[in-house]
Amino acid sequence: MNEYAVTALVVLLTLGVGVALLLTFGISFVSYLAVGVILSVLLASLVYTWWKSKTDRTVVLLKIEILNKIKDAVEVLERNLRAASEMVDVEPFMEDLAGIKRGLISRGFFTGEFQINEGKIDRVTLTAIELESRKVEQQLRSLESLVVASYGEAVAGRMQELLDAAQMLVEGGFSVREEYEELRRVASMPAASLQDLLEKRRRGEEQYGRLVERCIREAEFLLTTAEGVADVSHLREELERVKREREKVESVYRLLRVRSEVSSYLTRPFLEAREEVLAYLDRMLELSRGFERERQVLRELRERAKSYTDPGQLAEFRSIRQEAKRLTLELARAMAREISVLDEELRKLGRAVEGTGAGGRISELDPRREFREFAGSALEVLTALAADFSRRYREVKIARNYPAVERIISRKLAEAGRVSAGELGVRYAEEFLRLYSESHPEAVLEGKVLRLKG
Amino acid sequence: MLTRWGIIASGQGANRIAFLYYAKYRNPAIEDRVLLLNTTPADLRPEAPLEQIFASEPELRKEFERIRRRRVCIFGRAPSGAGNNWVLGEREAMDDYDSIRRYIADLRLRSSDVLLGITTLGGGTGNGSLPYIIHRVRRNPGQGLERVNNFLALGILPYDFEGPQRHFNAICGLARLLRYEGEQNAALVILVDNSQVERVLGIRRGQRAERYHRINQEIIRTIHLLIAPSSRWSRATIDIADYYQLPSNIGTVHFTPCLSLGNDPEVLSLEAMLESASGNAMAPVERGTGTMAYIVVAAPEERVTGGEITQEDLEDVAREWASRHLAGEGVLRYTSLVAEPGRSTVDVLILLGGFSLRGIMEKSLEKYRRFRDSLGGGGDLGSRIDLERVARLEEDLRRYIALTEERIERLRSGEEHVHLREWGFSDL
Ligand SMILES: Nc1nc2c(ncn2[C@@H]2O[C@H](COP(=O)(O)OP(=O)(O)OP(=O)(O)O)[C@@H](O)[C@H]2O)c(=O)[nH]1
Ligand SMILES: [Mg+2]
Repeated sequence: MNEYAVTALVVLLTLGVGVALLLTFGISFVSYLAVGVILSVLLASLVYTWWKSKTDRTVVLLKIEILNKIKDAVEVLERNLRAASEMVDVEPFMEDLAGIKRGLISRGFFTGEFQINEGKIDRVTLTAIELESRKVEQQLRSLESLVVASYGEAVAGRMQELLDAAQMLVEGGFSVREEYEELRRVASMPAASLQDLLEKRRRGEEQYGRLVERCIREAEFLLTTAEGVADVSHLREELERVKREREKVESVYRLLRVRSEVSSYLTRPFLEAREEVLAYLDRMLELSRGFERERQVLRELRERAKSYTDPGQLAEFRSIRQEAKRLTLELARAMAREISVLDEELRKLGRAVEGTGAGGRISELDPRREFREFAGSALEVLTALAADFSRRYREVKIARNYPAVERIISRKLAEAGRVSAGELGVRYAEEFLRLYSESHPEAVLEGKVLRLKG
Repeated sequence: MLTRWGIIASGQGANRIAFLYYAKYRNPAIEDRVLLLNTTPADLRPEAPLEQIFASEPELRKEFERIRRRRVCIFGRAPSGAGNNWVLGEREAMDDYDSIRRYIADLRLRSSDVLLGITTLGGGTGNGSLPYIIHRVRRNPGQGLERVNNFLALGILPYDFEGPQRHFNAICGLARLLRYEGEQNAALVILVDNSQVERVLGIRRGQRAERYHRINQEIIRTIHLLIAPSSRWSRATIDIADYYQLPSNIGTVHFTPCLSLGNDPEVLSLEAMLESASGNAMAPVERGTGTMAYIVVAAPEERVTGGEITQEDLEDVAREWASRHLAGEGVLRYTSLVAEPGRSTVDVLILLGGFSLRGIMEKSLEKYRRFRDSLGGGGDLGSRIDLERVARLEEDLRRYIALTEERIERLRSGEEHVHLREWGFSDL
């Protein structure tokens, strides 16, 4: 309406000014002016209408966006409430939420199906919508905090239950410590919102599921091993039940019972496996002198093997045997490498290398073979390698140190006319004396004493 | 508090050794306290003496650039150095002492620090200047410089085959390192003989520059072991006061290093290592005349921490060694075990002291006398070799030698036991 009044006013004003100008300046000047003014006014009103319609559109979009946000928030909370309903009674909260929704509908922002009411929102100002949105946000937040309080407690309770169950499994001897630690980590995660709590619960259940799965596999292995020794079909049945009801905490007791009973049948196989691995590792340690890095790893593995004392831990020896095979190959390769380095050095020192290297025999070591067979041939190969190595090591030591020892021998001979192996104060003393006598015709070796001739 | 060291090297040969040590070891006990002194080299380039080092190790030129500005001092006015005349070398150092002093002051030494002076004894510059500088710094250092009492000297004796003037210089230089103007001079005089080192290393031929380089490398290893007990790896520090105080009191202060490097601890026992070191004296030593010994053993850290080599073992072995190698078991013996991380072999340094100087004098005296007798008192005032002064130096040295021989004799005869009777004990 205002636009028309303004236009009328402008027209009247223009006419008045036109008459005044006409009286003062004459007709031709005024007609130019009039045409110019009319054109500019037309242009201005065009620009104005275009600008106006554009801002109107922006406002509408903004309103829709705010309402969409409200809608999302309401729906998310509704969904989360439904998800939480399996552990706590969410009826009263649902009721409150419905109230909030009804309010929004009755004020005309939403239709009965809770869709944005685009026809009506034209007539509501942006400010009013913003105010409404802030109010609803506030309501939703206080509602959620009530839910978090009661659901949080329930989740904490469930987590504790899972943790207790997992701990029992760990203490019962299942090797699931890693899974248990992970579960503890999940249980101690902070959760501030309902969303966080739901996520925490989901991950907790998942992790517990993994843990139980491992226990089941372990129990299955033990049962299979024990089948040759005793009748364990009743335990198999128990285990089947566990598989069907894994998420139930009572299954823990079944698992523990299966494990402890089957263990009692496994004492002999367990002791045999342990003995076998330990004996093998001991022999490896004997043969690996001079290879400190490998020995360190071997010692650790041996400690680990020794730490298993419960027949239920029979499964562990699978991985220990695997590891022992791997270490065998590693040690054999390290030995072969060192041997060829020493060979090279001996060649440089102009010493003949006796005996062909045992390095070629590494191909006899096939880790796919059964452990007992593997161990038998591995010990043979390692023994050969160790002998090759120590022979060369000694040769190199002697060759490298001979010049220094030669000077000492010469001096002692010059001083006293004789020197015995004991007086020399060096390792491989007799060998050094022999070498000396070979290259110094003035000296003769009599037993362990070197003398100057004449 | 670890002892801090500084090195002052005067003359061409000494410059090479000190620079090589600085560039190769970058020892934390030394940091950059290395001062190279020289008279004007022929082509005015201070690095001229080092060219032969750069020729074989060009990357060391960079290291030289680091110290060129603050650590290289050219003194004196003669157009081409001291020309093998130690009197001239000494005169130049006296005239230019002020500028030398400023360079030394820039090393920022404290009176508890140790200085090692290095010179060749056959030339003119180092041999002339170093004894004078030691004397000044110990007695009357002048403005802005603290007295440094612990001033040790390392003197390098000429090859046997060098000419009479070189040996004349060497005898005068030795005398002046030991005593200067009637007073004890360097706190300790460590002697290294070029010919003897070559004998030990088995060097028989080769270019002169190459031969010097090998000897110098052996010398810097010695310096490194000498300083090792001041490092933080040391197990029983030989306090640096021990290096000089007792010898000073006894009156004999000359030493020579005996090195045995790269010993394999799996094959050689400590006994064998000491045995091998004592065969490697770097100056001619007559067997069984040494009266003092400092023994430094640098061993792989893990063998020391693992208890395979201990300070106690070392002391036992050293005692045994001394009873066989020192005159009457010696009067002084210190051992120091250094556990160095990252090494796999054992290095041994025996600093053998108070031995008979006969071997050293024997090879030089003839040439010394020939040169002295040819001196006619000519030349201008600044460079003239004053025969009266030479006679005084000779007298000083004679007295010192007599004292040394007397001590050796006393120890050998076991006279010490006589005292037991004097104190009222009956004979064993
Ligand atoms: N070990 C060793 N000895 C050297 C070296 N250079 C020179 N000499 C010996 O030192 C003596 C000469 O002394 P230089 O150091 O050349 O002389 P200087 O101190 O510069 O004195 P000037 O006579 O003025 O040149 C000779 O006996 C040489 O054999 C070196 O690099 N290493
Ligand atoms: Mg020179």
